[in-house]
Amino acid sequence: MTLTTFFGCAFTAYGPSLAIFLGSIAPNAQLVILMVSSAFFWLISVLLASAIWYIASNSRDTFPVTIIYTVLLQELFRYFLYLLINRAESGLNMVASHPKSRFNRSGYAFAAGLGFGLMFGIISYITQLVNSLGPGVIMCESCKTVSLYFISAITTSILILHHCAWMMISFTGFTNRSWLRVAWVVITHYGASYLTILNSSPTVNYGCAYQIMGNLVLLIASAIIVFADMRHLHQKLS
Amino acid sequence: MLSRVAISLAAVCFLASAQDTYDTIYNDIGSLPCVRLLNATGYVGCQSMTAASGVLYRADTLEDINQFANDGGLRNKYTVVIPYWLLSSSNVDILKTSKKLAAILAVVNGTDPAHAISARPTNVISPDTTCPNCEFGLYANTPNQYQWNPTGSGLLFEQFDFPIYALNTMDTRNTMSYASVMQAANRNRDKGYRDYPLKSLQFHSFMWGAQDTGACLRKGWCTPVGGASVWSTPSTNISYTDEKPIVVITAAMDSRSLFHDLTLGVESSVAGMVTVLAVAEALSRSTIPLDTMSKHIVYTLFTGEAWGFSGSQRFVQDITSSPIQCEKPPTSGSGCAYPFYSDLEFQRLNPAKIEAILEVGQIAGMGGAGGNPTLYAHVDNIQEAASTTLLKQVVQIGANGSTTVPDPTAGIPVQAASSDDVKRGLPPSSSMSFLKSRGNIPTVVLTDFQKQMSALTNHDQDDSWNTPNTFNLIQQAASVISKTAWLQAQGVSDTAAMTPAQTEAIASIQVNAELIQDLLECLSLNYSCSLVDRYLNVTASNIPPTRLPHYSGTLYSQSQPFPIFAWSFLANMTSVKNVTSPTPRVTGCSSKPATVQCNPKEYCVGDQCIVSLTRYHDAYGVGIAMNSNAEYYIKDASKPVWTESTWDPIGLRMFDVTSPGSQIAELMTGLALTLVSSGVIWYSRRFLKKTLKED
Repeated sequence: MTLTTFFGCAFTAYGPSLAIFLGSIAPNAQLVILMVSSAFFWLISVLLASAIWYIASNSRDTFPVTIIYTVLLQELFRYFLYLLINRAESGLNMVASHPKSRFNRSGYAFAAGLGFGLMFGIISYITQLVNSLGPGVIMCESCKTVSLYFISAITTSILILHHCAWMMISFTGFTNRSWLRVAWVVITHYGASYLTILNSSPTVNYGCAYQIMGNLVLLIASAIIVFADMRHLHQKLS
Repeated sequence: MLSRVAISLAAVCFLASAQDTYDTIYNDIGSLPCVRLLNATGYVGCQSMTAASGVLYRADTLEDINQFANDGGLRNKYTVVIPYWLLSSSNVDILKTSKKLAAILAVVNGTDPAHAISARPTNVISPDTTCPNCEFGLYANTPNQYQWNPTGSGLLFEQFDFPIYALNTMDTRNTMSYASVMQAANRNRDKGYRDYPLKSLQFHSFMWGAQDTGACLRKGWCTPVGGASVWSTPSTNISYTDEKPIVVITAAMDSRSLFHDLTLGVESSVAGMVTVLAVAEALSRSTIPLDTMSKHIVYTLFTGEAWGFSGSQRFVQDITSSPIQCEKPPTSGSGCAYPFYSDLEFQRLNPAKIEAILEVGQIAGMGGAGGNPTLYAHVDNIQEAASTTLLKQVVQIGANGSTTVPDPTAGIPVQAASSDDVKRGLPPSSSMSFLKSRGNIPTVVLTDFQKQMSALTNHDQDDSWNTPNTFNLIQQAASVISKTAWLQAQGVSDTAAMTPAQTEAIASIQVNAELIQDLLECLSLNYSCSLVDRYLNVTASNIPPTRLPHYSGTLYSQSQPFPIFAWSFLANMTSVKNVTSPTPRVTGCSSKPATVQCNPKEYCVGDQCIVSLTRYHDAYGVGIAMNSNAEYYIKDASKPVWTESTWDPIGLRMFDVTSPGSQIAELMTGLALTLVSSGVIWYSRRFLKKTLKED
């Protein structure tokens, strides 16, 4: 029965993002390249985070502390990525199918977000996914009837989508100097990360449910912002 | 730990190592497996092709087993935890036909009231056959041979195609395993075995050996069962041609049971081994030096006896085929490279000169038949006349032991086993191997039973014995055998006709009761005792061994703690020639660095340099031989050819499982999520295209 768990969790965690990748990124070569380079940026941020984690031996097991610099580094590298894409944009536009489209930047942001998200999803969840192949499971501390593998799969799935939205919002924010949007991204990133602590909470009953619901609410809020921005862009055009 | 894995989603998971995660999920349990053994016609024991895993289910009684089999609500595979005494063919059949069985855990000893010694049924059933090893014995071709073990269920000879492991609270590690398994099983029971997550166990028990010994030896997937026998004599100058008769004092050193790690064999072999060692010590006190007597005394302790008398049959086969034609001498050391012998000194023993055999069989008094413990002297019923004199002497010494010296054990009588006028012949014993080659050797086998072997023969639960009874029986047996052997060696048939020197000398032969207690303790439950330590310095090791298995192991692949100790002890005892004028011994040879270097012909035993004729002898089924390429093959399938299969690493681990239903739900969720998002993507692409066309 372990194969069932494995495929169930794999589809839950990566199914939506893979559908997005195959449906919207894969047909476009430059978006694929963008996605890969953005994944690389995420990796560098996490490499630095792990170096800090290694040095800060006292706070290794204090997750709220770890989250502080990990999220901060990710946001920093998101900005570096923006700078890079900003510089490369004219070249990218030249080879785009609609070189003049104002939606190009949103497309780049979305591809970069998916790269960030997918790399995060792979790095953070693959160990558990491999373990789910074995006969044993770890139960979720706050929801004792559900396996942690499955809860983590759902969380991974949501967080990948989060990254897509965050990248789009922050790119708009950086472009328009709208610091409110940048702040929203940083705050909700912290929020989403701290929510995951609920999974392992021994005191909060159904903590995993609150975590998933909270993250869904944040995701919907971010999605609304994205849609509003897109709509605004569209209206400006016409 | 859990939180560490959980937090991985907060983007720091790569920091938690894989081992951490493994330890969070799995709890590795100490394992005492039942393994596969092969003989000429097939295989016995346990094996599973795949790693079996099942939800822990606790069954304490036969009713519990039936309830398990009939419970239609149990829809998974289960690991059933039962007390060892419920492990019988019929109960296993009930479990198997339920189609819900993954594996069995048999609790030999536990702290739970259901597994305590007090819960053991009084009616013990032997797991061996109704006549253990009789197909290789003296009466193998006799019709209707006497069945010595009528309660035998033959469990040891069954084939199980699923793993069976034991749990036993014999040491700290196994007690921890037992505690964690029972805690998990009890939690599952409290949840009604339905409220997932439940605790499950996975077993790795893949055995390479298949079909039979012939097939697996060709493929190299099994190793002969065996080890090292030990023989020793005070007559260091014994030779094949010295025409001096030989008195053999013998016992077995190994035993078998379903779980080899638990094989103890206090009844089957340890008591006999202790007796022979105590006899050697008692005889070393003789005021008349043993090597000057008119007959040689030879002690033999055989390994592999539980496996078709492998040790004694090989020993007899080798001494009767001397002189050995060594075609290829060894590159170094003693012995012969082909045909292979690790040592050739046995050629100094002349089998034609063996004039008496005194064997100690089961004498621990664990039969539970009730009544006063008694020693019975068995003789062969085919050439009965040969043994009449020896039997008479044994019974006489047993009866008047108290008349020569005050003897606290005189209370234990010695009777001829045929005193009820039924001639059953010899019970399964090493002597049979000698008598098979020459039937007219006077032979007496001393046991604690007259008609029926102890039901604890080759049983895994022979770990609690009646201490005073066992001591007294061993002491009396050692006393009778040492005196009989001494008189035989002196050539005295009538005690009344002894010279004053002989009368004085035989009085000096006193069995050391304290030594018997120490030996029994050391060889059964605590190998790191001071007695063993004096010889082998066992306490210097990192983890001093305590209870060690008495299964012989596979040939040349395991250390042989009991033969090694027997060798050292016998070497020490037989090197004592005369207690009245002991030659001072050189000490200090075992210290590191050695302060003293022993002479080339001396051994360093117990920190002393001694001269001794004590040798190991290879012990494995005589049906197996080694060819010139050092590969084993079957030479004679009618003789014992027991082998043990090689295995993949064996082990078991415990973990949580979710219900099969929820696993399917997980898969469905994943598929639904993927399909829905694919649909959404497809739809929004169409929508975007339509909208963007307006550009």
